[in-house]
Amino acid sequence: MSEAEAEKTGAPGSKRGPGRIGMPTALVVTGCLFLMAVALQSLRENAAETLRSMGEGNPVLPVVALGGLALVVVVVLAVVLLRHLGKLLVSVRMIGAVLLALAVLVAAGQLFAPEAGPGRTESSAAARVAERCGDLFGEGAGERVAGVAMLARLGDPAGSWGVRALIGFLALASLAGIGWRRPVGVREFGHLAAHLGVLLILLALAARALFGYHQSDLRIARDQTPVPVPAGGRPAFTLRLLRVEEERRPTEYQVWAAPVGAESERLDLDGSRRSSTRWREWSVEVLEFRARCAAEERVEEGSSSTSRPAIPLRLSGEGPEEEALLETGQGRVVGGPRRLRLGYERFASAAEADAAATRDRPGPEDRLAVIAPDGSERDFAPLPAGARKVGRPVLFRNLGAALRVTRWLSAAQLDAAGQLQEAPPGGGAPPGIELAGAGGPEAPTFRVLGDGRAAEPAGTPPAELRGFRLKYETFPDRPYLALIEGPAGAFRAVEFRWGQPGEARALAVGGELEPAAGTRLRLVGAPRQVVHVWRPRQQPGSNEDFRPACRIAVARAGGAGRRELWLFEGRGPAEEALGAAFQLRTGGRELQQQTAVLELADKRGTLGEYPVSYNRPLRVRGYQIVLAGADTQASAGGPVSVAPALIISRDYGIWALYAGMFLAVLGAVWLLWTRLRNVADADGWEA
Amino acid sequence: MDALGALQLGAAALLAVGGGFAVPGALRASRPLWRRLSRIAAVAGTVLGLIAAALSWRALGRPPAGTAAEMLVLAAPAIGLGYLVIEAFAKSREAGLLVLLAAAGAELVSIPAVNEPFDLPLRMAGPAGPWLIPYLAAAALGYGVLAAAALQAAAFLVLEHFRRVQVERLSRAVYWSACLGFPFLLASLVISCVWSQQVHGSWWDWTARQSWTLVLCLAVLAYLNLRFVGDWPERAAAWILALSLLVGAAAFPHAREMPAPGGDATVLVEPRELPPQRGRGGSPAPRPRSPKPPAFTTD
Repeated sequence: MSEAEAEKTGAPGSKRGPGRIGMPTALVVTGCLFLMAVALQSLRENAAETLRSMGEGNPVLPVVALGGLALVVVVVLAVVLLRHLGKLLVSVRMIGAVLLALAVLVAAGQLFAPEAGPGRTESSAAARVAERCGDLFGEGAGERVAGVAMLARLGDPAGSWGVRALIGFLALASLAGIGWRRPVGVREFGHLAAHLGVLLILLALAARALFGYHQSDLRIARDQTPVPVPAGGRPAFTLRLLRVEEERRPTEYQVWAAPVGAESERLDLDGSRRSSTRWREWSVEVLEFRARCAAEERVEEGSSSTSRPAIPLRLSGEGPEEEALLETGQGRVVGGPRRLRLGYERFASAAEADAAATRDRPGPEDRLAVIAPDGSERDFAPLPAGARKVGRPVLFRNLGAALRVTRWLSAAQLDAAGQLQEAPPGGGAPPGIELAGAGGPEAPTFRVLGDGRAAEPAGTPPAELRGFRLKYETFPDRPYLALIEGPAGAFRAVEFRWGQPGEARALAVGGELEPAAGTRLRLVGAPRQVVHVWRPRQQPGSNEDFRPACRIAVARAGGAGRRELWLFEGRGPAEEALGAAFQLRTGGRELQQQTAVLELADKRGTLGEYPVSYNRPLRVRGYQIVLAGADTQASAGGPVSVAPALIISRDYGIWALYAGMFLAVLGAVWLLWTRLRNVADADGWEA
Repeated sequence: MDALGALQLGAAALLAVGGGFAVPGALRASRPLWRRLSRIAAVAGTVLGLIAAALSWRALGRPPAGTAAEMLVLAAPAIGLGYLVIEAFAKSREAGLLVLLAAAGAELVSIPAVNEPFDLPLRMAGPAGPWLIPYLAAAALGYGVLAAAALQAAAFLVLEHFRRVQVERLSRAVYWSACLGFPFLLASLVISCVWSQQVHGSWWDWTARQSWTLVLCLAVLAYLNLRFVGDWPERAAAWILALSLLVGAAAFPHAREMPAPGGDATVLVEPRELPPQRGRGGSPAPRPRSPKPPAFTTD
């Protein structure tokens, strides 16, 4: 085509052709096209609601008038655009303006509603847009911007008629480009291929939208009833899960270490193989590995950051004689009818040791409750355990009664006159308490037994409590024998009853006590440091917790000796040796492939077993079944996959899509790379 | 610093030297020696960058696509390659300093990311299938070459405004860079669509990766259409390409997000959630090369 003809026809490339569309005009037309489509979409979506409101008699005339005006404007613009459609379709500036507009719209969509992806819905897009606009522009302005953004469907480009209108224009322009240019010959192949490719892609889009089927996140489990495909309507087939297979990387047995107080690091060691490494100033060697090992905790002599002082005891009497290490902070119950608790307490100063031997220990409190005639509890008051409550005030706030404990017996009974008497020991008699009301020493008293039952008090209760019953609840005493060590290794034994200390008895290394009838306790040695370590259980039972374990040897530079320790995977804090802590961890087991084996069937019977794996979708009867994931559940051998998630889709245009993509890329390469030339350098040098 | 880091540093130095020599060589017409040295340095830097990219892939045991900084080890040689191809064809070196310095900077930024990476539980679509390498190669080339084109457009705008020199070669270089890089970007988009179809059963889901790549494609396509089909003024068209650099900067971090089962574009957890698993303050602990000792008998 000559330049004169190009100018006459206004073909692209001509600078002075009649009716040439400039860039400002193209941008305006693009904007009009977009707004027309958005207006039509809004009218369509709101028409039903508006008509319904009108039918209900609501005043919607202004809305209807505005909608009508918008429709008229759209129609007028459409007529104008259609009159110049031919010129618009072949205008490259128009195409450029549409491309830029699409780029801006898609970018704005990502800015206003990011994290788009499968599963987006209009309501989720609206919520995301509102939240993002609120973050960017504040509450007030953000609402207005969000309204505009949602009107333009920026949060959901796929559903926007404006975007569809622009894409449709590009499709028509491609058709016009092919029709007008009539590309023939090798040089025009790129142009033809690129435009045909775009047309095929858009055709595939339309086919997917109109005829496609997509069902995402379908979870199936074994022993579930067969799932029809497609859901709803006449199924082409049904599918049922037979099993899930998986391939995982082998387990790694990792040895981690850290200097005490520092962050741990992974050592260059395989805990399942005999190997050694140097790490900082330590050398670590794996000596033994067991894939399944039951662990038992032992207390052994040793020193570490977690070691505690302990005293060796020999307990004899009821039951076989045994030796034990009693640590600070840990109690032990010795046998006999009194079931005495033992504890070892160590203090650096004599004053602290004296205080520990003489101060009361907290314990559970008794409880005195006021019960109304209907059985409900009207009030209650806590009381210190044991004899400490004698002389203490007792206040019932709800009833406004102030009392005082005048007497308490650990085993009591009421005589015929209702007075509190000591019951014979060993008879199981409950404690008893005597209280007095306000009025000084001459105030009348009343008594209650601690048998946990609501009863009328014996005696003369104050006026506030007349007509009520009292329930006195007590907790059994837990006698505690404290072995208190002061400075210079001086021991004393103090028995606490009801939390109150008794007489302190001196105890030396080698000395004996009889803390409970039938039980003898002997301090066989001086205090020593102990640590808790895990060792393989020699004779594990069948229901033990078996874990991987390895035995390592640790040595430290400077000849600080060599320690061997067992590391059990997942057991407690790290094992310490020579200033470092070590742990065995398992890793690896990453999933490499999962396969869901499905059984497909139709009305004529079973079609067979079909596997579907990651990146290997199953194609059957026009449907594509994709494995999207699977839930895992813990098992003895590690996590196993269950309940796979499938995505089932049918896309009639998929091959048109692939062909269009291929042509588009090929056309782009042909069209663009053939423009590259080798030009001479400024001074003629080609280098 | 280990061998990989030294290699990357060397590549960055050569690219910067190539850029440093390029400007005087371009401004002074009869300096063939400088032009040769510039080209040799740029070629050597690009080759070293490619080798570093391959070695980083091997050392990490996975593609260097864990973070955007890691991906720069792929983009840096692509930027250099884009400049070299256009410089060989269009003989334009005016933007060489800017482009090669950008490549050198990308290489430098990627050094700590690649040499002391976080050990990330990468999910790569089960086995990644045949799509991973073509996608990464196309994406790296597309983003790299188009970044070179956008930088050349920016250089064109500056030189044309301030120096009023003859910028015909630079204008041609800008266009040819865009022509060279656009098909790679389009190919990466197409490959990711096909990959997504295999993984999700849906080839387009408006994910961040797809949307931003589409935006960049549309912007570059608009430039190509307007400038050399619609005969737009050079300056106005160059603005579009220069501004597409911003779009590319927004799109590039999403390029590492690849289709994976259980959710599109999920490859990583946030790096700060995981502590470094390698030794502190030094190179990663080498894998033991001694023959494997016999395994223990186990219970």
